[in-house]
Amino acid sequence: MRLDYDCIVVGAGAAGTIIAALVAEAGKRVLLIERGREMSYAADGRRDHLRNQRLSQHGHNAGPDIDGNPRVVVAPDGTERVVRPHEPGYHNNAAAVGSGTVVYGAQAWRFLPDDFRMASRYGTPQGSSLTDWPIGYADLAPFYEQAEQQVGAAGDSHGNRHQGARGADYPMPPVPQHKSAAALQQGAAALGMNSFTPPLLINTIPRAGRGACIGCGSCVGFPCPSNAKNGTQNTMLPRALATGNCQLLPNAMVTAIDTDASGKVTGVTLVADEGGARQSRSVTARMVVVSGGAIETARLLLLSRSAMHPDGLGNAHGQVGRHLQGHYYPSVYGWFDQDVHDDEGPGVTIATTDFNHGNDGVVGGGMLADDFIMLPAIFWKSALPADLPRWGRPAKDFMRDGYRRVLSIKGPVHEIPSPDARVSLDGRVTDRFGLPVVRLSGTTHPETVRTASFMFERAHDWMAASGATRVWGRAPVLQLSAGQHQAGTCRMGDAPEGSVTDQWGRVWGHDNLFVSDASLHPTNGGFNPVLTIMALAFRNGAHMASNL
Amino acid sequence: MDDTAKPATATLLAVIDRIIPADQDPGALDLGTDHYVMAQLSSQAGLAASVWAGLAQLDDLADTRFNAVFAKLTAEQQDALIALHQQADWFAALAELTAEGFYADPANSGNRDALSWRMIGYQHRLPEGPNGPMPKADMEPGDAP
Ligand SMILES: Cc1cc2nc3c(=O)[nH]c(=O)nc-3n(C[C@H](O)[C@H](O)[C@H](O)COP(=O)(O)OP(=O)(O)OC[C@H]3O[C@@H](n4cnc5c(N)ncnc54)[C@H](O)[C@@H]3O)c2cc1C
Ligand code: SF4
Repeated sequence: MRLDYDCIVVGAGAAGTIIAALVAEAGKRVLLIERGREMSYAADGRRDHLRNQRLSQHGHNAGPDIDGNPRVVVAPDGTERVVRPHEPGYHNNAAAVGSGTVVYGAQAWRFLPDDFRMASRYGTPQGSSLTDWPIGYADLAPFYEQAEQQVGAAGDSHGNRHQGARGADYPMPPVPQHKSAAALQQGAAALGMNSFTPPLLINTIPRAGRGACIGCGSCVGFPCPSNAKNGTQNTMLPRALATGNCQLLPNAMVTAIDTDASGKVTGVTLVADEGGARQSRSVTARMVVVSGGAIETARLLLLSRSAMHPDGLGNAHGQVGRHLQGHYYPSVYGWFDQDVHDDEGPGVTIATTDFNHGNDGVVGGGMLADDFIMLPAIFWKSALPADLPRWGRPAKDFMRDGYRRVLSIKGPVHEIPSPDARVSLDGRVTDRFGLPVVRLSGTTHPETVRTASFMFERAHDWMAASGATRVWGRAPVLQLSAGQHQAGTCRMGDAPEGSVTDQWGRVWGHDNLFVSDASLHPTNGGFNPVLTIMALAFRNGAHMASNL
Repeated sequence: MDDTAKPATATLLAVIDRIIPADQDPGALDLGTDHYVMAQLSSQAGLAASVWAGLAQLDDLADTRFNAVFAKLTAEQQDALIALHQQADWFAALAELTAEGFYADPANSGNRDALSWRMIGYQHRLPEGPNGPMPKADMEPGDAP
């Protein structure tokens, strides 16, 4: 029997689209299935400051829909809530062709060499599942370079004194620095810190047939007016489609990975709106790659139960869905007596990696940087001191006098994962297709909070040294972390007992089922994760293509 | 019936006016933020009920203390009564909605001509104007394209 495709990829996000392109370019027939829709600037570029992937109080602009996609959240005290995608605790990233990469901030960090060997460097704190990656920085370095060159990164190739060895320089010069960087640079120098312009997946000059960034004031959370922001939807997807070997199927949800009586993966079942009616059908392939993002990938494996796999695929050792992590993001704000606001987006212009490792008394650390230009509504919701009244003249004065005088420093903390931070299936609540929804439970390991508190103080010091006359922020507390940087739920490893896949993302016990997305990360680095997700996809996609 | 003729609506408008008062720059009522707040309240029944109940308490207090409805008090008197309620959930929620509408994009109908952005010094720098590209269906009469 001729199978429908050589390879089915579930999820057209950061990793899945790269896999589809590499496999299609190797001459294989690929079906790329995405539950979300295709977005464009013309149709979806509207700046709704209250409904977007950065401020979602009233909804999202890059999916999923408010109705029909609930999750169940279990609080540390055991109480349960059913939440919709825009409500607190849902831990959304996106649902669209390109996923978060259509609207992201595009910070493009390589992890540091020690990020791949956390257990060796720090030991494994009791109760945590801190571990080394099965591969090291040197294994991934060539693929970081492929991601930087082929998706398109702009940065300062030599400014980061802690970075691992790199080959080629970034293909584009970094974003320009302005007033905010000047103030923070002075503070960094006073403290003896190394600082530099952070790398971004943004065209700072025209490249690959698309224009340069026009510096709009609403980068993160929205599609780009000049198509200069490099997501997978405008870089790797066109490459995949240009081969003629890849078919994109948006607005289609994979509901199960299919297996035969022997337990071998044969394809997927999906539900799609076809001709106005909801149709369910099965598609066969020699290989299935799950790239649904850390939460939905775990869910799909757990949903794919059969007599041979009663607990779901790849879950013989109960590992699927565990070690859920993201990033604590300690943030401080500082008041300056002069105008320190930059008008030109994206806004992130200065960073340090001095505190990613080697901090006394804590495990790991994280990168610190200034923030994207804050939408006024976001400034209102996040940047006001706790003791400021939210009405009357004081509030209005703070907005009027403060918007251009307040800077923020923040950064992602390398999490110390816990096996109890978890994605499982809820036994009661179902989605619009009648499928059990995700149940989120547990918290990060308490060591993460200690490291985050340490980083909160470093951010505070940097802000004060830069001339801020008042510095404030909210201290980190113990909670579940996942969100837009969700990772870790199908960790790769050296042996089936403590992991879900081998170092190529191949699910243990299966020769034709792969995971490729942030689920694979054994730990999630002290950096925004997307360049690492992409680099792994370049590495694993080439391996898959050569094995088909 | 004219909405503003209802006593409770008059109280709501008076409170919104004190949440973001006019001074050298426009206040919430100048930018039409009350339209945004009303639209939100009409789609959030639970919140609306607690806001209307809270406003009724303000009117009772105004009657007891000053023998007048809240909307007829001086700004100083209004502020003094609001200060007594500023920790209440209904008031915090109302202040939050008012600020959302006032500082959001004009197409959310609470920030006419993006004047709050001019006040604070935020530049959108979008080729199509403050709302970005607007599908025709989303445009309200009077929106800049
Ligand atoms: C506003 C915003 C800003 C961000 N900024 C940055 C940044 O500056 N730097 C950075 O490193 N990261 C950033 N991120 C995070 C980044 O986008 C994610 O880390 C990355 O997209 C995750 O990649 P992934 O391949 O694991 O999953 P995703 O990219 O989320 O892809 C998963 C896709 O699979 C689809 N899917 C899931 N289940 C199914 C199913 N059953 N059937 C069909 N389709 C399915 C989903 O809809 C989704 O499109 C940001 C994200 C957002 C939203
Ligand atoms: S800041 Fe530049 S890259 Fe970002 S959305 Fe605006 S124009 Fe595009």
